[in-house]
Amino acid sequence: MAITRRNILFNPVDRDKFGRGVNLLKQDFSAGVTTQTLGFAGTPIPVSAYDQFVIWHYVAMNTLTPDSPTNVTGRNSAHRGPIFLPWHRFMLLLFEQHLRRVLNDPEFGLPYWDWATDGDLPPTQQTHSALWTQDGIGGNGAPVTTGPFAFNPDPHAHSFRVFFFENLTTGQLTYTAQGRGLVRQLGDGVSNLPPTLAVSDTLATEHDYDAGSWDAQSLAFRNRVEGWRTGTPESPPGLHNRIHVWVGGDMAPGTSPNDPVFYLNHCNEDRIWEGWMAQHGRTYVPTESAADAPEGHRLKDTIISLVTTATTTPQDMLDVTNLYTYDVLPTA
Amino acid sequence: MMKQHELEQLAAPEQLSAALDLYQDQLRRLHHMHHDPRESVRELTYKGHHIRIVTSYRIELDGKPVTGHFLVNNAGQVHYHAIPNQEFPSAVDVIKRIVDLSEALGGADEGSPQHPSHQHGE
Repeated sequence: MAITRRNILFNPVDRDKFGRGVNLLKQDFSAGVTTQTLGFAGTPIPVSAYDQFVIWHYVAMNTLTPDSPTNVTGRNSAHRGPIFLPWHRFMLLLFEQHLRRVLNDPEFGLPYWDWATDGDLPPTQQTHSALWTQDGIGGNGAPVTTGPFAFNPDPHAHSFRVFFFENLTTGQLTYTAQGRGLVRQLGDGVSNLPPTLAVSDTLATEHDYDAGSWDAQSLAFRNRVEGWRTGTPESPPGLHNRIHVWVGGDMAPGTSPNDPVFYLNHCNEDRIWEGWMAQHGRTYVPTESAADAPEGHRLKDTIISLVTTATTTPQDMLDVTNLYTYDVLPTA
Repeated sequence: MMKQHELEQLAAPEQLSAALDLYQDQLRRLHHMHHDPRESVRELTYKGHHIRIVTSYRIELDGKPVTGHFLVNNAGQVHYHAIPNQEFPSAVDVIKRIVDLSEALGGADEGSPQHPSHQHGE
């Protein structure tokens, strides 16, 4: 039977399970993966199941499609193209299942953060949402010192730590053996979250899943949700991208799954996609026969993962209602 | 349609190490994707004329090279791989954002950064 994914702000049980599950996954070294497995020199350091998702995202982000100097679109194997939504749906499915495993709770559903509700507040109030409190997922800081992912400098404390992150000046994946605290800069990169109008307008006006150049210039639903184009007077970044920029800190580089809010954000984008499909049908473009369709982004192209040997396709991700549904879908 | 029992198998702990064994080619990208400065090559045709614009950057921040990949798209916007959710009007704006982010991220660094080796061969 399908589980239900719910709004984290209205469901403290799901919220607390999410925090506990993330911390358990951070301490889960049962796979035996180390930095040596990843090809790093030096004394091998265990790599947690959680951090393997971070690395998967980083590698996907840095795999250009196509991998050519003439690809000036920056389209990669998970972003800036049609694959964006199905790729992250696959990631969330696997992450959610790992949380069920470590929580020993087969009924657990990944919660979502309906950031547009907070985006309807005046900008100065948005950083004071219940999400960013001690009882939520902690607040602002370098490092974050409140909530379930607070940093404790005592190395024996097993507090939430960031180990792998993208070096901003080299783009290389870097790690610290001791780990460091999570960083957030709420509201620094942009002053406000997207409002409900930005979501409803996207659902009302974008009738095609994707279009044209299949990149960050496309005028269609996927690109509105990803946030390279906005239909509202506000300039980009929009929707998904705007959340990354607004949270800042560890949500900014390609290692953004370091901040657990990454999953709450993407769960909301997945919900918006599901809302769009409820209106427009479970359609996806480009198909294999579409002119100039980029390889890796077509309906039946393979999506690989660095956390499982199994693969999937966008086609397989269009209807997963046997696995989960949402309590509420957004509408136009 | 994926079944729940199939999903459970995909998320078994042994799958985590098996995936890294299977996808060694992708894993190598961890260590080989930022070694060379990347050029952006824009090509288009206007009134029958072929236009080709090659852009590369050589940037220093406090005397140290910034070697992450910059792209200039056909709209003239600058995209920087290490800050992937934004586009910028210019490379100067990218560097300003790097500074803003580094102030916080650098301050939270408790450990000694380790850098990639080449243990995976080519």
